Amino acid sequence: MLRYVLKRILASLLTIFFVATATFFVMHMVPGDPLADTKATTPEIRAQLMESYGLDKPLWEQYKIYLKNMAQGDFGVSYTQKNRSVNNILKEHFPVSAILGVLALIFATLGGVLWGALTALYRNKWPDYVIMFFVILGISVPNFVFAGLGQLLILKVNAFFGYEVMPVLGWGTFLHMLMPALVLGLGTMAFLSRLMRSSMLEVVNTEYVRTARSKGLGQFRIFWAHQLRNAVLPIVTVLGPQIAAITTGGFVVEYVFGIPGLGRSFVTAVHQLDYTVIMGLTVFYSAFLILMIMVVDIVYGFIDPRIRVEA
Amino acid sequence: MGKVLNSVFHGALLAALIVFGACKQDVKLGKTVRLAFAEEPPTLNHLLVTDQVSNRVLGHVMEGLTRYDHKNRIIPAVAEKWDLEEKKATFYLRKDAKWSDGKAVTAHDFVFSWRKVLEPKTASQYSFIFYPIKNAQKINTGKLSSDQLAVKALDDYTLEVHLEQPCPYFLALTAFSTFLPLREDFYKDRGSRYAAEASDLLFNGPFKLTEWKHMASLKMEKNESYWNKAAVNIDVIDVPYITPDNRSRFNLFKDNKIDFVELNTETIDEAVKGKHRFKKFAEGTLFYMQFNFAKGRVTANKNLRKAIKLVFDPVTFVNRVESVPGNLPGISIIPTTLKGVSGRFREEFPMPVPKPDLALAKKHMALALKELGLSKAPSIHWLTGDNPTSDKQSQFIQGLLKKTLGIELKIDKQIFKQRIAKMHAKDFDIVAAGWGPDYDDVMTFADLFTSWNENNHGRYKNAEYDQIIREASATLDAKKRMVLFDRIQKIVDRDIVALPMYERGKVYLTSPRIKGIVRNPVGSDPSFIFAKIVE
Repeated sequence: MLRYVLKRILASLLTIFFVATATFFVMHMVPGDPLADTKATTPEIRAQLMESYGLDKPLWEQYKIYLKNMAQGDFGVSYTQKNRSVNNILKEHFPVSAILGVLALIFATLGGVLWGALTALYRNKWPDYVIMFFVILGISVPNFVFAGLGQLLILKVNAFFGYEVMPVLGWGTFLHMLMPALVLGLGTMAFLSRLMRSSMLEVVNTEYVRTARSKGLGQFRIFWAHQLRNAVLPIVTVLGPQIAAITTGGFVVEYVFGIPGLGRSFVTAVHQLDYTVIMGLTVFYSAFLILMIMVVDIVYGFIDPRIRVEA
Repeated sequence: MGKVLNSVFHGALLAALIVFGACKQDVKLGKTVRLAFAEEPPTLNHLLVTDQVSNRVLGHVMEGLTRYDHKNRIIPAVAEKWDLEEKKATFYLRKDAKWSDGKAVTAHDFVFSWRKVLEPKTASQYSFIFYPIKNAQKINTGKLSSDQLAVKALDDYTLEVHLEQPCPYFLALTAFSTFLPLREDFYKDRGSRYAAEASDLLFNGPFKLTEWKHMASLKMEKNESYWNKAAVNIDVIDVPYITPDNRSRFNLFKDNKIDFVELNTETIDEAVKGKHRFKKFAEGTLFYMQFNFAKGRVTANKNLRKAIKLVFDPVTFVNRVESVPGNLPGISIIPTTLKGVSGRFREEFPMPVPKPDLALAKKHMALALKELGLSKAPSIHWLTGDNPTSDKQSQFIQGLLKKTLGIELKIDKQIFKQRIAKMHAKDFDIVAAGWGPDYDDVMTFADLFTSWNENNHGRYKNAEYDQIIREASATLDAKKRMVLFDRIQKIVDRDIVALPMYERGKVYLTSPRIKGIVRNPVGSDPSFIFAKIVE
């Protein structure tokens, strides 16, 4: 087991290195640079600016310097937020996205398991059709539509009750998190429902379920002790990437609800060609994603003894 | 069954708790102004500030030698009085101006700050604005060390400045945020962390920044060390929301969560329907078509440019395309907001409103085609930005040029950095450009098309134009200068160096509980320093 984990860690580090390299070079291929602004500067001043930021060095040298600093945990300082280090940006904004993401994931998982199980239990009856209709909506309708609708709903509720039941935007209390987390989790919830449904239907015809039924066990007991536990396995597999996607993305939700999360920082940085922030956040995101996948793979091995991955 | 009922009951209780828990009593607002910003200030280090949001905060928490009053006139601030000579300015600082830590604001703070701006290592993008000061440009280009700057502290409260040549707008420059003072001991103590957080700054303005949660909120409170605190009627400027979404900010205003909001095309219709009374403000930015004069470009042909000018009607443009009340038709390269000799420049030196003339335009177009050796109208590369406003404008102009002159306008939409890159690389025939004033003097627009101005992206070159600007830079005589600037606006019009499209106006709503909000086309805007709460 230990050898397996060590091999995975090594592979992960290699992957992160490749991601960083690819991002670095692609980023520099984009026309423009972080120092260009609407008011143009004279060639002399521009040369000086480039020198101050080390952008006048040949690309390979910049790359080597960057790698050396990265190995020491120094991702540099933002070009646009001129006195904030990238580490500081990560430290301040990642927890926000993380909390939002975890909450969204809880909604998504609970909802997904619940709806998926219900549709499987009542398959081809009306609950199945109704839930599946909403599931398809949830998968096809983009996030920003739900975000806008969600905010509108809050406004209407506030207007109806005459006081602020839930804040329209911002961050800070549990009530601030409720609607954004719901909106963020909707897509995943729909996807997980679909997954859960197929998984449940697969399990329903297996031998151990038929054995349990022939033993005379109650419907609920079979559902809980046998079907659910096994059907949940595919969900655990996709949770890894979903966690990373939800926690560090969600830009639209952060934008509409005014949440100071990492998604917003990331998109702003790309727009401004803020090299250091782009690199720092990309490396961080990929490291996080890889870590989540690794954790899930290891956990999976414990949950399902049939699929213990051998070194 | 009992278990289910139990859960339902608990669920309902939880819901009720949430609902009533959120029920807040109406908080007494007191002397607080609540705002929502569209963006987080990228930096509050005045040496590096270039954007409007940072300037807005700095305008409230810092103060330079001078500032703008509620009528946008320059008034004493840290400097009590001054002596202005042809090439020398002496400022006498007041003795009761203090930093938020109690220490006095001295002339040394200005000397240190201005030297720092010009040091090449600082990489300040507004260092050019110091060039009227003797040796400033040489220092900024690395030819002299910063202690050679011709700015001296004669004593703690007297600042002497020597100029390269007479600069009639030097006083207006001293109100600009890059000219703010900086405490050397504090700056050195904080090092690279200077201005990173609210605690990494010292304040000498009417307010101090007490809270700053990046991308989320910030709060400014009355500065008890401010020399003129008696004149400040606001206790707190609270910015609990930072969101780029226009509609969200409008919703917050409707919900009485903020006291000020700017409207755009999305939200104006709603505001009109909701019978909100909005205010207009000519914000000072001019948008214009900048033509590329490089050899080989069709836009270098004067007859072609003349044809385009004769079919473009700026009045129709502002009424139909960007129908935001407050936008003014673009008539001259000098916008209406700048002052002239004693009143407004455009009132003292008016330009005629352009009248489209299709027949004449077609004649010029035919001439252009002959001169260019073309059998049919060329296609034109139109470089523009990526937002709904530029989309509408580009499509309007595309339709117009096709219909009237047969010109195929190829719309090249680029996001910010890429558009800048293309502009610098001169990769366009026409670029939809915009320019805002850096200081309150006509020169900030008039020198746009000199052969040495890097912002002259079309590379228009005219010895007469250059000479007029040199003359206007060398004299303090206001009347003489304005007459020279009038010649400039006429040259731009006659040669069609650039074609003005519109002057941007802003439309905004304010809460009836606040009076005295000042809008300023140059410098910190909006300003709440002179505001008062009227409950």
